[in-house]
Amino acid sequence: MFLMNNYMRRYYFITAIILALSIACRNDKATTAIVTQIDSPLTPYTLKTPPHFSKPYLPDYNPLTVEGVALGRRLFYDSILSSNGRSCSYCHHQSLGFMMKNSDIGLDPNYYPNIPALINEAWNPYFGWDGVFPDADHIALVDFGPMFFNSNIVNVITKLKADPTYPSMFKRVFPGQDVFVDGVIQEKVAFAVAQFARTIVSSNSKFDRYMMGLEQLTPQESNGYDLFMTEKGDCFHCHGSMLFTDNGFHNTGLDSIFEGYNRGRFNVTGLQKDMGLFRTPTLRNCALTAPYMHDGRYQTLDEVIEHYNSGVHKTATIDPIMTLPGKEMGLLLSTQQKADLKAFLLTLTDTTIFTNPLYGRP
Amino acid sequence: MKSVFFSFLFLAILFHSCKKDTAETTKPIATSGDLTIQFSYGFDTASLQTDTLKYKNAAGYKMSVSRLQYYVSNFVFIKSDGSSFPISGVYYLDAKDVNFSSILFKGIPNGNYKGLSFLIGLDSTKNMTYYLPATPENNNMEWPTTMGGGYHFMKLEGDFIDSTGTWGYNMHLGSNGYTVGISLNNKPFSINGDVLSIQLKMNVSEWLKNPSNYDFDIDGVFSMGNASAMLKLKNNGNDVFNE
Repeated sequence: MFLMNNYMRRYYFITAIILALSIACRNDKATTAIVTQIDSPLTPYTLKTPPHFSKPYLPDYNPLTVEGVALGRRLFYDSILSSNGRSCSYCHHQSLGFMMKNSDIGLDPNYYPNIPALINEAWNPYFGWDGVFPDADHIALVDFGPMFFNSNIVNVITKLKADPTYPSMFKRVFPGQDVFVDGVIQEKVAFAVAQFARTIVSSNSKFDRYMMGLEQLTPQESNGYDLFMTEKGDCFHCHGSMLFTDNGFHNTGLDSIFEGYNRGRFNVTGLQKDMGLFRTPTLRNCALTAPYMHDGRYQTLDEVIEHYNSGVHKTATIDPIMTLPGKEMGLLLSTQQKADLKAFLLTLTDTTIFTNPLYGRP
Repeated sequence: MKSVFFSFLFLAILFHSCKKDTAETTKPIATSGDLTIQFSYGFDTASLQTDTLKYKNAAGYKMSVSRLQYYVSNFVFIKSDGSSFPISGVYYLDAKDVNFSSILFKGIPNGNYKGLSFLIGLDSTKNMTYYLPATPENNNMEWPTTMGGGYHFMKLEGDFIDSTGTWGYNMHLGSNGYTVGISLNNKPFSINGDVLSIQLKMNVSEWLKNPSNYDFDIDGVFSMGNASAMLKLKNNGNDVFNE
């Protein structure tokens, strides 16, 4: 009995020691591992950064996952979100470079800004022509409104819940939350769509291949490149780097009077210095994404080039780049130089995104 | 008795197994320390408030600063005995962005230092396209390859008022040969194995004066592609950190 007691006591102490050690020494990592194991971790989606692109802007609160991108891609193409048969892809049409002329879908171009092409969004720090959206993750919230999807959220929730796969997809991407609630579902849809939109990367143009030494520019394209990248054409200050945008805001002399949407960045900041400033759009695929400017006022690249050549309006907030000494009358490019500049812009065309099955309807 | 013994053993094992490694090892005497240089900005006697047209430059115009982005590189810390400690890095700074307002130098040898020198810009061995990592900041500072490649050394932009109205100015500096040498021989500090923070204040006004006034209406609102304008900025820039 004594031996037994002694043995048991020893056993008790050893157990206590092991238990105490396991409690006292456990670290947070072990705990996290257990929790995530229960939740079954989502698969991180690795966004491939093309050569010389900067690190993309990827928020911690909406990390890219394979499951999230798949959900976003399905939602992007699904009219289940709307009451009028529209989906995101209705305006951001893949075969049109993820944009659309707003006049072609019944949006009054005099009132609605030019629909932007959804490419390389992961590298944008601001969204909307006036930068009204500070992230990509909440933009789609606007789309439920009467002018786009005209959604009845109760109906949307009912339809999503009745779908054979959406409930499990949402549960997987947003575990532990009841997403089918008005005010919640909108954000989750927007987050998933933003994830998909961030994966649309355009980096396979002739210019990209030229930069990698795989292809040569023609003499005309090369002349255009020189005009673009020197003070003569001086496009690079705003449309520089491999993104062909500085992601900044500029007044490039489109107007002399600023009203309504044309007040641009001013509408967001209320600062006089921002009057008439708009976000620099990327020039990638510009040959295929007419019309141009925030209001789509120009239908061809020739008209755009001519604006910079001879049509600039000088106002207090005009970018100094536009008033370079000796260019008070515009760039004064010859007909040949204008053609060369356009030839260079055409090298930024990447048609692979138009047909890339990864970006298409699932 | 046995219980006491086991309790003691239990506690001994518990403490022994959980103690941190650092608790036992004696902290070695550090032979080097870290130095943080915090950059601040002023306009003559005033501190710099960006986007306000309230400063008067030497040429007599009211002006503002809306952008001040630049690189510093080739730091050399000069000890009181004349020996020096060079650092080869290139650092991006932005007067409007707190994320790019200081530089941390790790492992600076202990000792008394009398000053430091550095370049505004990148020397010719570094001023090459894609020498620096492709960050949004570095990409926006690119100097096109068709104009020699590399990076803008500095972008100083804002507005000024002349007799005809309010206009923008863009003072950009770049290209080999236009780095600005900064030499601060009387900026003493001591490193003693710890972390030290010192401040360098740029007087933005100095870019436009000493030795020669830069007049936006005469010299141009635009320094790019204008060698004489850039040379003026370069020569004016040597004393921007003199306090």
